[in-house]
Amino acid sequence: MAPATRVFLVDDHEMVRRGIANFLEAAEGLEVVGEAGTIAEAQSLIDAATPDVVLLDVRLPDGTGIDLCRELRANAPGLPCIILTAFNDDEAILAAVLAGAAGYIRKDVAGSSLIDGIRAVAAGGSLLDAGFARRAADRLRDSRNGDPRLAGLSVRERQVLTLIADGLTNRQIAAELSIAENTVKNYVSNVLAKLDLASRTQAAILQRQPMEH
Amino acid sequence: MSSSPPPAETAQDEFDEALQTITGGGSGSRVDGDRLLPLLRAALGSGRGADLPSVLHRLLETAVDLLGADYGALHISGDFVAGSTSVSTDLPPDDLDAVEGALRSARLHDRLVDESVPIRIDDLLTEPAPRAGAASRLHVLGVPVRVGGTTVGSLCLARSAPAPFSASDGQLLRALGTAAAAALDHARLRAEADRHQEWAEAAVGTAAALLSGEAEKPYSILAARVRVLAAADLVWIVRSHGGSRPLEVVAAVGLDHRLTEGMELPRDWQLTQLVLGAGQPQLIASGDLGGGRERGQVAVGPLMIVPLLEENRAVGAVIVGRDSGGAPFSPFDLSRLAEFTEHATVALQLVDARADQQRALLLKERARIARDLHDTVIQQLFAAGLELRSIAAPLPPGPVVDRLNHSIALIDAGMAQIRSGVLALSPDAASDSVRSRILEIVRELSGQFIRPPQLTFDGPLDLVARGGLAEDVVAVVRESLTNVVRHAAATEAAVAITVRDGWLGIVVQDNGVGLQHAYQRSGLSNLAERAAAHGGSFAIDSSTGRTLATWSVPYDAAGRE
Repeated sequence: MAPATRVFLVDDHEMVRRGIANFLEAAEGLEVVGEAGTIAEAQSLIDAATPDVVLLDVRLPDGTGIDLCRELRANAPGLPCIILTAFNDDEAILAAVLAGAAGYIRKDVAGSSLIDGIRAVAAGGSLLDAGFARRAADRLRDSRNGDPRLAGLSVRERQVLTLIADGLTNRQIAAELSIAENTVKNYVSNVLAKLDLASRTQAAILQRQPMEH
Repeated sequence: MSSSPPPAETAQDEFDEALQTITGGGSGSRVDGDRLLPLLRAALGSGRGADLPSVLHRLLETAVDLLGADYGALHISGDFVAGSTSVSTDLPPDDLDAVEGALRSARLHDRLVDESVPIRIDDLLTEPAPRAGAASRLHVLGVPVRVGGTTVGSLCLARSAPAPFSASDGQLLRALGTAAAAALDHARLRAEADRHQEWAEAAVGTAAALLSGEAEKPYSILAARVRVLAAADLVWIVRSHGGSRPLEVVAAVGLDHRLTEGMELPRDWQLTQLVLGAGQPQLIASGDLGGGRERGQVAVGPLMIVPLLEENRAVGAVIVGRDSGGAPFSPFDLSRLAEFTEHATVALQLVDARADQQRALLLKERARIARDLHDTVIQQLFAAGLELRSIAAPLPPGPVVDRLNHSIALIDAGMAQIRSGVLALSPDAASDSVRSRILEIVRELSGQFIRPPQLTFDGPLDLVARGGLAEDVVAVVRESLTNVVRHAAATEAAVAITVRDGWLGIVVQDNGVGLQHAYQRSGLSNLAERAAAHGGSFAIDSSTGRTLATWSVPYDAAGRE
């Protein structure tokens, strides 16, 4: 029997992690080898857990799953990640392209091909519809007809974004632009902040400050 | 501050001057004490107390009495105060006719008003010829009545006594004319003060009404008050909502249907130009203020235009008009309106600020609900759904698994609804995204149904629907739902938009009666054309008791735009 596919879960909702873990454990050949609720936790646990696939939520308490995904991919280009999101498809595709993820899985139950998706990605496949991914990448590259939020990017940030759209990891971007990887990380964070990805549809949700009543 | 008007300084000064002349300061003959006393009484009585007509009447009686005349007339021309004419005489009717006829043919009143100097005519022939024994010759004396440098009327005396009027008679009559002017001036000021008071009280009352928080349509309240105060036939209030956006009519009162609430003031109307240029209150004579195709239909009478100012910027205007042929507005009216508008604007700003505050609170509350829905409800449903799937997975097919699957489907539908709900609740949803525009349409029309139409999205609509396709998608959703509202007598509707496998599909379902008439079908050809333009198709099916309208167009699945 082939060794089980090792899955690491990053989601700040404990009950979601529980639900997914139970669901995956019940499936043939899948094993949940670790869980984290924050980026910091994930960073400290993932290496030791040696997963084959990482499943991560976009929104995390201490940052975005996109940043985390890019960082994981820079260190281990062969480690496929799947974005798990409750957002709509438009935002999810954009997030997956920006993260360099192998795809996204929406948080629906019946239609959710969680198990098939994980298996496909572990086997080196992609979950992203190539046509949609291309449209999203084109949108990110196109400074004129692209997203109006991208108009505020600096020249450097735009270069970084174009390389992200081309599918380069942070490390590759650093080499391409002859700058430090940490500098690239900062640019990526800036771009994500300016793109304020989820805010187009989820501004309310992403407000981190406590609400006044 | 006292509410009584200031004394009529100009007229009073003239009166003193005239008195000075009479009592010896001037070059004319002296006036004796017997004649001076009633004059003083009449003059003193003129300034206070009684109403204007009786004051004027008393002055005229005094003049007739003092100067030994048989007839006296005081004419005040039309639009100055309420035009008043007084006649005082003890002549028999026939003689009265003869005297009046003589004065009329001498055009005495007109000449006095035009020339504005005293006129004395000795031996004027009366006509028609008087009855036997009555005087056939008259001596006539007239003085203009001047207020604030303008001649507003005349004071005329006639007598048949042998001696003509003397120079001192002339001075006396001038003094009385001045007294009449003082009375008129006083009455005018008092009337203005009363109206000033009315406007001021109304300003306070209106502000209170606006601030009471019960004012649902503050501009309409304002317009209605202004219409009464200004004795106007119509009041329009227009506002621009910033930038180059057109002026919107926010209130329209009066019997006039050319402008109604909510419509835009046509750009090519001359009125629009006047409003946009209205940095200052303006008085406009009557005229055609329309333009373009509407020319000739916007003839209005006199107008006042007062800008609505916010932070010293004109953001709109109050337009007050009377019908064609109506009395013109005076500078006094204009300044009252300007003051009133200024007060009301302050109140309106407070009302707006309060509305903004409430809106902000509402948005915060919505944001909180959206966040809760996303953070807890969707996640819990997702976790619960996964749990059900875990339970179902090892079970053999059968009724239990069917029920579990049914529950899972329900949970998914619920999650999809919540996702749409979250999107609709988010305050800063980019209003230009196709998704947001469709949500807005559904929200707009939701009042027409028993419950808001169900809306579900599947696939990256905004990535695929770009440019012309985006416009068509939005238009198709709007037209489809509008058709349902207008013709189908439906109580429920659902819109499902799917972007998948190279096809963008919009399915609109309703529980109505279907399309009953050919003319209703004609509205559908537009939808079909929109589909055909993208190489797609449109079909409608009412055979199952529900109506299912399916609009679908292909997109390039390889992602080339």
